[in-house]
Amino acid sequence: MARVKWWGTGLVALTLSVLCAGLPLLNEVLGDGARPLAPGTVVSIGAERDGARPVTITVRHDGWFLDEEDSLLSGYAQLTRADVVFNLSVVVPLAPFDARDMWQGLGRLVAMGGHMRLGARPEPIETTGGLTGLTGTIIGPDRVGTATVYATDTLGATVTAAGPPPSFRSVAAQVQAMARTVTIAAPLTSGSSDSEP
Amino acid sequence: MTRRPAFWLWAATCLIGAWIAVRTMDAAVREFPLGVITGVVLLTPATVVGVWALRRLHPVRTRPIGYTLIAVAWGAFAAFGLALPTNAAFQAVLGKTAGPVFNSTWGAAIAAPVDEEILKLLGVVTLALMAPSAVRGPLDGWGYGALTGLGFQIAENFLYVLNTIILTGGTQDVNAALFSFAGRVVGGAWWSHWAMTAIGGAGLGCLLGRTSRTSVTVAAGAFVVAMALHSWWDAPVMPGVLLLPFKGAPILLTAIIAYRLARRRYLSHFRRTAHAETAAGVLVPGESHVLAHRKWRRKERWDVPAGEPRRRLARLRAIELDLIEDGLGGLERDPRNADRLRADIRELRRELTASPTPPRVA
Repeated sequence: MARVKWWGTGLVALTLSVLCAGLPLLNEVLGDGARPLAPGTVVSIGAERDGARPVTITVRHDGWFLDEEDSLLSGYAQLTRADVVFNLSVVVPLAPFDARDMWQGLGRLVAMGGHMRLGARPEPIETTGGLTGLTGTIIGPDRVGTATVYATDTLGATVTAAGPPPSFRSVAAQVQAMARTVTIAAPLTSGSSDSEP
Repeated sequence: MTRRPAFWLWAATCLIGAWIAVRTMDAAVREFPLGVITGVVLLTPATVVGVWALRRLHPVRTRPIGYTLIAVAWGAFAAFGLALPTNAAFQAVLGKTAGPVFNSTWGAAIAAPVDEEILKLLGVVTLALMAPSAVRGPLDGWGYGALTGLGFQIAENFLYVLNTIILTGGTQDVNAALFSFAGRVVGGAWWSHWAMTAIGGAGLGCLLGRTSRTSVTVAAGAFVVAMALHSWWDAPVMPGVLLLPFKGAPILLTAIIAYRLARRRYLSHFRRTAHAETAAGVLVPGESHVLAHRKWRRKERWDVPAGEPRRRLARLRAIELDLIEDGLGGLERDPRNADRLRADIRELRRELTASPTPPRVA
């Protein structure tokens, strides 16, 4: 075969560039991918079984968007409104756990970002459907917010919402109202996305 | 090797990939040390066994450790690190164009096969450009493809330890590491990335060995099959742990078939060339049988005094194998190489015969 030392290497470099720069560039061109959610819209997450996802939340007010770029409905959904980011995540226990365990775990997950932490004393919360959990504050240098956890025997859900203080204060009541619409349905027996190689 | 541009491309891409991977996982690694340590303790022996097994999966000789590590490093750092933002971008594009519901269901089955199979297979191409003698045919392509895929698999297994900890809400670090290990290594390693890239690599090895219309078709076909099998594994069909063996079986079976075909082709060339070189007087009668088996080559060394004579015999056998494999093809093949190897063989044989205790087959 002919000498390929240079052009072969160039071809590999070109393929890497097209793949690793082209796709992010295309993603940028497509914009932020914010899909408006009408009041009453139900957002479902978790592993799909028989056409349904087990954890849901209902949007109560106008002006919220589903961030299509940062949402993977098999595990989490991200809603935004101005600078406020609202995250709903499904939690799959491998051993029995309760809301207090989840609160501590969420504290570690929030601290992972390095900029924010959970407030020390969470308070009990109950959804409109009777699901009980814990709720408290999120504190950071330039962002504030709230966090809520719900645990059942088979599944859990975490809700975090944060933004710059003025923006968050203006929607705090909406966030709290949405956090009270969480439902957790049927049991889930295995990880939602753990089968990908 | 360092004088070839592909080496520097390999080094730079591995560094960039490692940097992306570290940045992605760093915060979780710091926050969940117990789960991370458990994961590392579980994954390390599995990694060593996997590399050892794939290195030896060759009918005649064990793959060189240097080339093995180059392939594994590409998979673990370059391919894995670059796949993280590329997959995320691809899935974001799918989410924006086809909708979040479609993306959640089919995104992984569409994005991962395209991004990951290309990135992993480029490792085999890069190795062939760095060391043209490393990939001379489908068997080499299969082997280094498998090792590149294994490198990717190792890194991804570690990522999944972290992902599982996060999926459990940061509540059960050790359980998450154990669960992830059971699912991805005990239950899933048999038909994972190593198998898919081995299939694509075997086709690529055909092309790198000899360029022809047939080899281009075989390479393209093998690559498409590898992507299709990857997609099949990621697709939301046959869910549930009990069905995983049935879902994984086609992948493993295809990898085994690809290996058997590549092995048969290699051994057929081996026998033909050994016969021709024996007839030409380069090999002595009976020597090809010793050459064909690791065990016999090892055993014959016992009869030779330790030190220089034993090293010379080992070198003779290595050069004889190089001569046989030289005819397989490869990138930038030097037509004068075979004559140089034959001259080396004659010289070494002369030195061995002149020694006080000459080996029997020399």
